[in-house]
Amino acid sequence: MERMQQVVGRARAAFNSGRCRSLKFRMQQLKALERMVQEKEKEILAALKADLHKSGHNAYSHEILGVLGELALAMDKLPSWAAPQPVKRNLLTMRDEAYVCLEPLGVVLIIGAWNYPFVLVMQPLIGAIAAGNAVVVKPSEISENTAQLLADLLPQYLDQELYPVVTGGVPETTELLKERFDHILYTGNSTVGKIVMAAAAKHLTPVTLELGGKSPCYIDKDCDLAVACRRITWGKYMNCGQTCIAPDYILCDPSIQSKVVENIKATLKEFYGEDVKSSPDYERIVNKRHFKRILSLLDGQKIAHGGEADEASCFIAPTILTDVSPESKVMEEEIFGPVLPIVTVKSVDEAIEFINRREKPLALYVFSHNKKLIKRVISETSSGGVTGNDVIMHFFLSTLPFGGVGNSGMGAYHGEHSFETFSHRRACLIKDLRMEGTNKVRYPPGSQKKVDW
Amino acid sequence: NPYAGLVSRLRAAWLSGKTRPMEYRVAQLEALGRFLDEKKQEILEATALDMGKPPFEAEFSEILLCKNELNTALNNLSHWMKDEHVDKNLVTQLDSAFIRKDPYGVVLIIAPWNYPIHVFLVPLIGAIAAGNCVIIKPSETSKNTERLVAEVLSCYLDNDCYAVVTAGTQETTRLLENKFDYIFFTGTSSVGRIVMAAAAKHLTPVTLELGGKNPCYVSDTCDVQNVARRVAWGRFFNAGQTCIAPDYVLCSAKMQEKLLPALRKAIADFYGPNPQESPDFGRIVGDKQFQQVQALLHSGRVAIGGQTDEKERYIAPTVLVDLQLSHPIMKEEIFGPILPIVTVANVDEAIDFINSRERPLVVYAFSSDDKVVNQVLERTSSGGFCGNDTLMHVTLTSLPFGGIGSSGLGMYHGKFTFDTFTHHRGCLHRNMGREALNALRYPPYSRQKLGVVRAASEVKRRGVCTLL
Repeated sequence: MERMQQVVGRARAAFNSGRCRSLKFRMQQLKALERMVQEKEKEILAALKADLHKSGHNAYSHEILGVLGELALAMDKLPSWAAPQPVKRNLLTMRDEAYVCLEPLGVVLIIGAWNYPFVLVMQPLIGAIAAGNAVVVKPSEISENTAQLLADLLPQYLDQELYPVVTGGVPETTELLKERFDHILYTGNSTVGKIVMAAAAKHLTPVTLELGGKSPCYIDKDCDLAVACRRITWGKYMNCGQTCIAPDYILCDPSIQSKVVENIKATLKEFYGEDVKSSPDYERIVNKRHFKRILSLLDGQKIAHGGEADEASCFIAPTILTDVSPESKVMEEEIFGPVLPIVTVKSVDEAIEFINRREKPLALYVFSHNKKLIKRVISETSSGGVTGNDVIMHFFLSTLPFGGVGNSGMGAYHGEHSFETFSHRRACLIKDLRMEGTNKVRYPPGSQKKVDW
Repeated sequence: NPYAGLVSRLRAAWLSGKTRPMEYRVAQLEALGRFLDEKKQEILEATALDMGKPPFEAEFSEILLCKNELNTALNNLSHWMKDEHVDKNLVTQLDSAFIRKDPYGVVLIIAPWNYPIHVFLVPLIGAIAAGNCVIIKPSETSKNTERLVAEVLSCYLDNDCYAVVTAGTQETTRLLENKFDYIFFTGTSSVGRIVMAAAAKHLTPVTLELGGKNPCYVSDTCDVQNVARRVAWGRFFNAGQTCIAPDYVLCSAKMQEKLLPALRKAIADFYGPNPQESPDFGRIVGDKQFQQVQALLHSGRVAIGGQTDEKERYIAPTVLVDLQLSHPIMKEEIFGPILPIVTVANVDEAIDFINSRERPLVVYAFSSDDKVVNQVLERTSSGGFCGNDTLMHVTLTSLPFGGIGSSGLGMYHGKFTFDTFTHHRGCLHRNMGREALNALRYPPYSRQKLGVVRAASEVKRRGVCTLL
């Protein structure tokens, strides 16, 4: 489509003009973004409510707060992040200047997801702008209110040529991916992740893929079940389970399974009251397609709690399944919904084996009073990230790189890691044109004497 | 799938956890060191047979630089492997937050023929240091080195965890059908695309060390003889078959006049009156490559050299002038001992010329005036940059080595190799106590709760302030 070519071409011309290179310019843009978030908070919360039935509290603390934090961090640290880094020199280069320059990549593409539609566009955008790039933003069409809002707002606050927003669905994204970018950051599922990487391969474009998987949650017998279950309930059912790092399923000893169920049930009552449907703090499934998909996972399962659903409002009650078979459908794909299967295992060895037999997940959770056990689970498994004795929280510490491994993705971002993802580390060695004497050793004609130095 | 058995064997070894303890990795790295020491002669002979590599060059690039990397890894491994503790925010103040260095698993290293030991060994050092199992695919074009590596490496490394595969194009395509946890490829951009496309099918992360045409700007203010020596050295090393060789010179017509006699002198000093007889000048690796490079001689006018000898695959150190952009030599990476000089009016024109082309692996700029060197640095983009010399930036293991755009993605050398083959896993280890501190994040939400969250987050504008 001509439109895509034009949009990307304009961004590239704008990048080549050099105006987004100065730190002053980048700071201006970041400050403008901060103003946007502060001035348009109401509109942002309204869009999130319309898209996902997100409560003001959740929307603010999950999507706006983090963005403000990243903006503050980027503006505070930009001069130090962007400064050339001198490196250790050897004997031969002792009198030279040797350093690494952090340079912009050029025109980067950010493809957002629908489940946290604001923060998943904004956080990468902040890093990309801070690193001095032009950015094409493609929010998810499924969270259409937020997509439209971003399309309306970003041009009002940011340089319009450098940071265009492209809206649309699969056909538009496919066209967009034919263009050449200097980095693509995609958040979504593994199937589309492969398509994005294949498109990137044509142009040798580096990619950061933030994908998903089934994040396991192992509960050891030796732990405070009430606390563990409250934390798990919070992380599992926030955003109605539509969180890439939600604990997808529980692994625990059969002897504590019913206590786990009891504790989660009690917490659910605490959180959402007797009638979850009428709680303003419980979200909805994003659309009918996902609603039907999630419901079908309940077929043939032992429902220990929940299971109620209402298609008209895309409501699915917080649900717990017990004695789930590892071969069942609910254990095949990422659930991305408020359904929590419990698979029983007889030991931590079995849990580790179970986890390792499957694709590497985005997050891994383990609850235990036994520090050694937690360390063991971490050491003997692989995952994008880990939180021990809680869920989700590693996401909120921006000094930790956030990303997947294997099927759950490649690359990472957040905080300074975003800046590095969107920068090129250019090695620079500046020598003196004099001092030729020291070079004579390396020039032919060669001799054994020379080699032995 | 002819390689499925090999890959699953290595995957089983990986799952056994064998490659993870530091002692194991150190033992394998030390074995690599012994390989370089004990098989030095064989390496020198094989590379001499493959491309007439002068023994001095082979010792420098295949042995010395590799040993530097090995020692860097051995000296720093325990530090590199350690959990990296990170700064915490208010909420996580009492937790343990660190980056765990996890190996990826089974990784594949595909190497080209021009520095046939160096280009697989240096990535291999990082891959082993990072705790992975490795399949090495040396180039079939450097046949003698390929045979040496295939026969001998298995005597030094643990065969359960490290394997050498000899394969041509067809077999390599089959090899790439398997799932690897990382692929490290050095070679041309066109094959780079194929490797990345194959990797995409399995969501395998990659590092691609590719190539391009590395421009070399020479300003009017410089010590011409020193420039000529450094440029000639970089261009004619390994008979020009170096991904970071200065591919072409950009200078004023005035400078060209001074440069030509200086280059002539440098070549004579290095290789004598007849470079074909010098033991310090290499040969083109194969007949196909020889034909390709020889064809490029028909561009412009031969100012120095130009002689060839097909039997020996010898092409003399050559300098071409009077070039047009349409000449084939100005279109593709030369990868031979030919140095075209393109004249430009000034540094601005040189910078525009460089920026109108694909971003190269390295940009070179020569000037006694620091400002000129910095201008070229600041106004261009490339994998790396070296001012007032050629090639030397890759000998410093503290500098990352990699491309940008069509010259590649990712980087390595020194710790960067270890990091390349490591998954940096963000870990937060919390306490099950102090549950009261979490109260703010749990529903039911009230105006008050949100108010507290907002107020608490507005306290600090400096630093990270995410509070739930």
